[in-house]
Amino acid sequence: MAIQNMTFRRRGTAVAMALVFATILLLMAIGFVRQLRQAHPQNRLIDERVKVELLANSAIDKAILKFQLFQGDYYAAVAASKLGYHQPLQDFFINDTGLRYVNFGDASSSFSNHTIGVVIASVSLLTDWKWNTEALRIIANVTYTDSVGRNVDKDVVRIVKLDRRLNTPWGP
Amino acid sequence: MSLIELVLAVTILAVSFLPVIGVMGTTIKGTTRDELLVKAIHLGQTRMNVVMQFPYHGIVDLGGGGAGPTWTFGTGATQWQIATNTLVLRLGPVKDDDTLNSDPSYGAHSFRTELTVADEPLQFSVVQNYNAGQRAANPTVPANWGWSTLNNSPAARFSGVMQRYTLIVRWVDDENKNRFYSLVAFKVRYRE
Repeated sequence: MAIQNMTFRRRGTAVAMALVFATILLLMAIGFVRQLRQAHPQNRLIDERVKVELLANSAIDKAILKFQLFQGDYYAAVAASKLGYHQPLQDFFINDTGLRYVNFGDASSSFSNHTIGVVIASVSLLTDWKWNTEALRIIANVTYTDSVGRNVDKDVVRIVKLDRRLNTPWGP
Repeated sequence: MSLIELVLAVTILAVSFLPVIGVMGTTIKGTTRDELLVKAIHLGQTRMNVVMQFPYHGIVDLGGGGAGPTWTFGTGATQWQIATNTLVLRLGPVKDDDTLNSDPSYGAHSFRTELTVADEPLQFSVVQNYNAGQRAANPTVPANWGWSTLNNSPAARFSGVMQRYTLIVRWVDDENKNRFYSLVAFKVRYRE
């Protein structure tokens, strides 16, 4: 009687164990898929970083060219700013929409088509009177929404050494 | 444990393996797709790095292609190449990355790199001009230096000083779908 009861109790054990294993396998599969989804954006991050830096450096290039073209006005704006009148200096780089990229989405791909925004955040004239050296520090601020929907804010900085001399116009 | 129970258990286990096998298949496809994308990104970055090292208008001068204002290179059936003493720019059909050709497991897929160079008009929206005479007359009152704003005026518009480089990498993936990856950069003509 005792043996019969034991046999009766063990009925369905294999099915139960199979169900447990099946559930574990399913959970592992789901976890693996989630892990894959998280690992995937790493490629996008590399892609976004390159595009962002290319565009930010393009904006910085334009700012440097503007400085070269209108350097007398820039130095006057700096002098005015030192006397407490900041508007010309503010307008020179920061408020110039020609130095911005708004919702720039030309660098697209089959995998992403997010847009990038670039503005010139600040331009500073760094002066070392002791060594009679000047430098221009340009900071471009980049904003975009990455592939997982996060807002990314990044600064790209370039410092160029200045050499004051008379310029000649462009050649042919 | 009856035979029916055993068969039922084995069936449940067998069925439970199906999604696992499906996930493995998807993973392999995803890995291949990502591998191709990474290769394309690296290829595009490598080419763009070379492109940006050429002097302003240097690629057009060396590569030819007419009067412009837009020039396209690397769209032909054969490889296109220009070289200087220190730089080599290779466009068109390539087999993965040129530096890894000795690897037998590398090179199963071919890519195509195309470059479009276009003159880009440059316009500053705000140019603050000051009057030197008024500044000399009011050296401590900068508001009276005769500031004038050349908003979108011809004096703030320039041509022939900026170019847009669009580099596109194209490939066909395992699902026979056309894929592309593009990079855009601008180069300005600094005054020497």
